[in-house]
Amino acid sequence: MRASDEDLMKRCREGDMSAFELIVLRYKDAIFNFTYHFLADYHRAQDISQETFLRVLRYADRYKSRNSFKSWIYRIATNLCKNELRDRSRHKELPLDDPAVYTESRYTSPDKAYENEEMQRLVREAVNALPEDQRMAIVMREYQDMSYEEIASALNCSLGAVKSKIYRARQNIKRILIEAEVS
Amino acid sequence: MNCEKIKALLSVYVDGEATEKEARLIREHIAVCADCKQEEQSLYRTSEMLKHWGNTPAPDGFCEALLAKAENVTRRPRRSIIDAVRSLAGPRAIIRVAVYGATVVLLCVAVILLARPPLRRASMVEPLPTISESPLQNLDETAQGSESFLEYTTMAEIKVKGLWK
Repeated sequence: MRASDEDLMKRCREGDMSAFELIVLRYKDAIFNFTYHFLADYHRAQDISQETFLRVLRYADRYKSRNSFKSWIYRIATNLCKNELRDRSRHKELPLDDPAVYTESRYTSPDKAYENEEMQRLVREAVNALPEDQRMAIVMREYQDMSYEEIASALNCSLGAVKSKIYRARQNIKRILIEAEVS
Repeated sequence: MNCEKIKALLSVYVDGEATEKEARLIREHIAVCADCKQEEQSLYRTSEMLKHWGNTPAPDGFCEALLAKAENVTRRPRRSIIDAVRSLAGPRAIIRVAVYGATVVLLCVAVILLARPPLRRASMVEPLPTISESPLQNLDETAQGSESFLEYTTMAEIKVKGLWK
């Protein structure tokens, strides 16, 4: 039987590193994807998602099992991403080239591959142009497939606020893509 | 429901998060409203577009690098208030807080003392009436000079006066 996240965290608290390893295996792609979509920086996403897991381990005693582990880990990742963006704006850093754009090509035809890359770039720019809270909500919804309730819990806001953020994010993305003449 | 309200709910609807009642109202509305139907299609298209920025798996070696770092992680248990204060400014924070606290208390005491009205100097105090050797002598004189004995004496003095006479 598959152990629940809460059970694994309980074992983590008792110092069981194999439980921590299972948590990493269960969430590594999701957390990496979230940080990557949020930061749009492959290398920093790797560092931030690793730091997320290290904090899970470091603060395992603070996790309350009556709350959803998924929401808790996303909250940690969200806070780290926010800090990263704050540092980035302070130091005026720009993300490095994104290797994921060039490595993940499912298209055999060069034209199709180019078209896809171009579309991916536009979408990335549109998502990046969103205000922070809208970006988080839409990334959680579109790329993490999280329910509105899970998003509300991870962002520590009301269900109504989530609906509003996602609605506004979609309107803004649509506008940006129309301006780029692709929609 | 009018178009404005329907459009505001469409995003929730395409995510499958609308209530049954909302979903029914939206379905009924978009069946007859071309504008809202177009808005619904546009939301689906936007969602499709977003999918172009697909999911990327965590890089190779992610777990190994992470687990190597995790070996050096010290778990931090839930902190008490004293621990939280201590962590604010290092191990000597409690002493600092105590010193700052004592300084604040002393300053408050000083302010209260200074705010009180100044004591009157001895020269400003009216001189006390001279008292004769016998404490009852003055009382006796006062009583004799007055029209009404009762105007100037207390009940205790009356008793004393009576005894004196």
